[in-house]
Amino acid sequence: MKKILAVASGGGHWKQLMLLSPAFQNENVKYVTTLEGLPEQSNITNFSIVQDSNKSEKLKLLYTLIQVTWVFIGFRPDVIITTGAAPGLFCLFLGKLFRKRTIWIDSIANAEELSLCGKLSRMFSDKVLTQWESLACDAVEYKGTVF
Amino acid sequence: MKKSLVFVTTGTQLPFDRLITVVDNWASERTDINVVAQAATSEKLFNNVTTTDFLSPNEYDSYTSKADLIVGHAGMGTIITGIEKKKTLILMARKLKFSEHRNDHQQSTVEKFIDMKGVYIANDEKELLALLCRYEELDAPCDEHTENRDKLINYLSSFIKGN
Repeated sequence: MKKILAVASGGGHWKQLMLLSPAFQNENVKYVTTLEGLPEQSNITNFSIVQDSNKSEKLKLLYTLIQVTWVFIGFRPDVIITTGAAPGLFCLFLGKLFRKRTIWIDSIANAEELSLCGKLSRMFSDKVLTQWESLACDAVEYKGTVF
Repeated sequence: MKKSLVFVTTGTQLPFDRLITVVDNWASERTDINVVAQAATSEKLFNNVTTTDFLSPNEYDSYTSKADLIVGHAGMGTIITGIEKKKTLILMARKLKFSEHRNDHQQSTVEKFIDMKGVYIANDEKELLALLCRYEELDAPCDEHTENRDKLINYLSSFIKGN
């Protein structure tokens, strides 16, 4: 059984991760999100809540990075999967650092270009997926979509 | 008679008063409905809409389950919730030109869902009002488990196994 760190901020990112969760139902999964009460709704017991942050909140970003680093070291995942946003990007960075398998799934909301985090994730991900065929290129693949 | 519940959500990050104002005006002539809105950080007062800055996931779940109609910005959380719960969705995209978001991605999001059953797109306030006025006639979505989702799940599953 693989240890999977599955990361998504609250809202649409989390909803998309839940739709994709059958992919790792037989694995040892730890979830990371930003909103208290979300994991319990899907009967998830192994999870951590971290600070939500975005590029306009630099101090919060730093706090998020410290929190996810703590979670990462505690869990020691084999694979990191994220549907965004900033906390997921940080986890991919850590995954790359520790030479783990990493994958970014860009939100279906981004139909015209990859999100900023998605673009940055190319530095730290083994795979970057878009949910729009029209956005696929050498570095970004299309492998299906939640809808 | 039990009043119908219209749930309005503009997410948790940014206000979207342009949307709530239309719903508020419409609701002033409808005594048969209750309107509750998760209005993010809106500072405006509305006469016919009960607003709250933030709802816990459980409260959000409860309102969306009870709602007869969901009106929202074009956030993916709103869209997926409506489809999962088979609730008629009326969406209006936030626009950068009105400083409603950091970019115009919600416009391209709504274009993806324009043909989906039970999801209705308003391009401006006028279209939003027109949809609200005939909301009882609108269809509800059905959560069709799509081939594309299975494809993505299968890919992730083999990625995890290291294939």
